[in-house]
Amino acid sequence: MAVTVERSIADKTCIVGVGETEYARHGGIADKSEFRLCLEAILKAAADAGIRPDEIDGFASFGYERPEPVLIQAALGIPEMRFSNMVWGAGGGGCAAAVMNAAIAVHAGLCRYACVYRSLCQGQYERYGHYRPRPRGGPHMAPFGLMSPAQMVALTTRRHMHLYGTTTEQFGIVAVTLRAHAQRNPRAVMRGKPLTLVEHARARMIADPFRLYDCCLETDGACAVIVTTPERARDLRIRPVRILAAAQASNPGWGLGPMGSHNMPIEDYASVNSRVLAGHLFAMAGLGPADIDVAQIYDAFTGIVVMALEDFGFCGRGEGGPFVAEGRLAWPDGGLPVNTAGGLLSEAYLHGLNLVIEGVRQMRGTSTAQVADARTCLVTSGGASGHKSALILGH
Amino acid sequence: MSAPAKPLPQMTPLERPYWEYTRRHELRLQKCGACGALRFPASAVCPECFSDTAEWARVSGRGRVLSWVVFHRSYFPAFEADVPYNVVMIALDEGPVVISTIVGIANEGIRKGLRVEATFEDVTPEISIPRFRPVEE
Repeated sequence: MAVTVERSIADKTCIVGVGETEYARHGGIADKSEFRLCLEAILKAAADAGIRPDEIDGFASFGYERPEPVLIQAALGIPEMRFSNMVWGAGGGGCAAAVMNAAIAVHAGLCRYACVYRSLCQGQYERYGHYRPRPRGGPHMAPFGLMSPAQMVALTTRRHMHLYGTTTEQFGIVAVTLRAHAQRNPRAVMRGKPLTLVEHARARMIADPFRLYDCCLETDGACAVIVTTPERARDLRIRPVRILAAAQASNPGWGLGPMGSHNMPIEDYASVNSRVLAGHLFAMAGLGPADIDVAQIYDAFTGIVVMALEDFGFCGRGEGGPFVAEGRLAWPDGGLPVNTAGGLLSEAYLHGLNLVIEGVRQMRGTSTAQVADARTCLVTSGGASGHKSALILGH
Repeated sequence: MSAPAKPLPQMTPLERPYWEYTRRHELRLQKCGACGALRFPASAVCPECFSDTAEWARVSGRGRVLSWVVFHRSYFPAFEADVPYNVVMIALDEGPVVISTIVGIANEGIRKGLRVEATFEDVTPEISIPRFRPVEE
């Protein structure tokens, strides 16, 4: 039977290994190079899968990853590297798409074990929250002082507040909820630092309406994930996590969105460019928002979590603020526990790949904020960028 | 050593006419030579009809505030003296959205739907940047 476009690689591949280094605030890891952290994460992922590191024969990454697969191949003595792939785009939108590409590669038989990896030492290179000159968008942004992701996303978030009455307290609830999840997670950079709504509201203003705790961490660390076919996974000792769906899309006319010149269509302006993506993702999985038990939502800023809840259909347009205020994101009883390891706001900012790893833990039943009987986990990638992608993982 | 100056617009062949007109204190956008659609920022081909012909058509310079933020932290030394400063999204009456700064009123006076028109700041002898100021309805 022919595979339909909608179903494509639905439930054809799985994640069999995950690896993470320690996570630290930018500059917190000075004694190890970014490349060494990258290798450390890959070695841990291979060990987790129960394969030899030199059995990895494919690599996929995103977001201008620095260590190239050929360098990893040489460092790990990999005899044949048969797939090397990177997704365009800043803002983390390529993360789930890199998993999708790894899945395509192993499903097509191009390689056997594809490793998705991301290493990021913001202390050794550049801080993502700071101004980085970019060729596109620049002529109409930087001259006006529009220079940092917090500022760019503040504009779309403010529009959401105008249109729907969304409040800064609702953003505070996102920050406080995710910080609470991080208190259970020994890897989280913000463990041991619980947050209250009052502290959120009194924190220093960064780009109105965003105060300090509306903005994600800037992190040193690395993550890796191993993708293979169910047939190969049967020979491994670990139970595979199914990739029920993986998709990449962008709404019409979005361009670089708020990371560019902000000329996305006005009807989509107060969104995270995931309406088209969500449609394809759920169609591939044959599931709807009501079928999702737990979600890892790209939370570079609190405002984009609220908008993502709407784009992915967990609530109607404009209802994200009240949805959050009802406590729906909270583990264990909120109904849709979100970012159960603390997310980019409170665990670490590994450009979203740590959200994929937490999704895997939820499906394995090993999260530090485990959702009971969780069978499905949504993982979204990117907040404001052009390229957006997402996964649905299955138990 | 002096602090770096504020970034100036990068001049690409596509963008250069926009900034040459702003230097003359004129706001002009690309207008498709085939279907007449306005587009911004500059692009080589019309996204409506794919024609690569375009003229730089003068627009009213009037519009409304779609969204705005006030920045309380600077990410570039040259903007530190400006904090807190505003950045606004303005929907021009002709449709396209431009990023700019509101001048002439306090940040607290900026609101959604505020009626504005372009004004030009000569930042160097070669570069003038469009800002916007409130006007009557």
